[in-house]
Amino acid sequence: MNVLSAVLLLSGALFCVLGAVGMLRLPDVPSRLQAATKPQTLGLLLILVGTALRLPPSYAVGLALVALFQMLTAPVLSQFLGRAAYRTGAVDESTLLCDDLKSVRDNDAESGSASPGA
Amino acid sequence: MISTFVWLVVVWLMLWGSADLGLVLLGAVVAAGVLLLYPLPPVRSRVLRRPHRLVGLGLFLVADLVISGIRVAWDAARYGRKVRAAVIAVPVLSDEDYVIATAANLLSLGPGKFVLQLDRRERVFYVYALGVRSAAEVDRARADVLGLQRRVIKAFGEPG
Repeated sequence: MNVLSAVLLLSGALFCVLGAVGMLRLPDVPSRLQAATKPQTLGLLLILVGTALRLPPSYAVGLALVALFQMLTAPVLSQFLGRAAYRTGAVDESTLLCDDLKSVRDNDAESGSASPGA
Repeated sequence: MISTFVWLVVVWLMLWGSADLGLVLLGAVVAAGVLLLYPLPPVRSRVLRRPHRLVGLGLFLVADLVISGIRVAWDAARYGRKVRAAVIAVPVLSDEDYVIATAANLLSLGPGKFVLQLDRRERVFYVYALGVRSAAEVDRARADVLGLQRRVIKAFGEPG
């Protein structure tokens, strides 16, 4: 049990470190957003499970709530930030292999209609 | 309404980490207060209709979280500033707000992808995908998004 817990805690920490490395190495807001939010989610889950194994069950229940709300809120956050980054031009377009949204956006700008899905 | 009430009481008890009569009553008062103060439009939820599909979806997500977590870390370490990404348009397969929102959230949970924009009228997801380096990988990312949507629909979408 102790070994399993230690493995979970360490691999959780490893994912958090990898997220930090991604933050430093990646070029623009949306890609950094990936590194900042996603490996952390996994890292936090692993750490929570590792911790729960070593605690009395009544405390472990609280940790399950932490995990649940982390998984509910993290995607919403990354969607909002990513969208804001895209709209304010914080996306480095040279990193994009293709951009299906660009043509939609440009068409809207030309015809003067409202932006899609606002 | 009833299920939301029960859920709020359960969360309350989980926060306290114990369950005696006084705590349950207090939780019921708090839950009733929350529902009265912050009313939400009713959503017909079918989360528990097909539990085996739900478990399957959960396991798939855990696997996806681990695999794509490693992929994003690898892309960051290997390519760094030269990483490539794509914004791809993917058709939305369902017409239920509830299913679309769930699919969008689960899509954004896994590393490497998030929903940049949703065109509800034309039913198109615009998805940002990281670590896409060729046209073949663009196609694969698109197929991944469609596959996840199908799983969500199978788990609690309207049949057919």
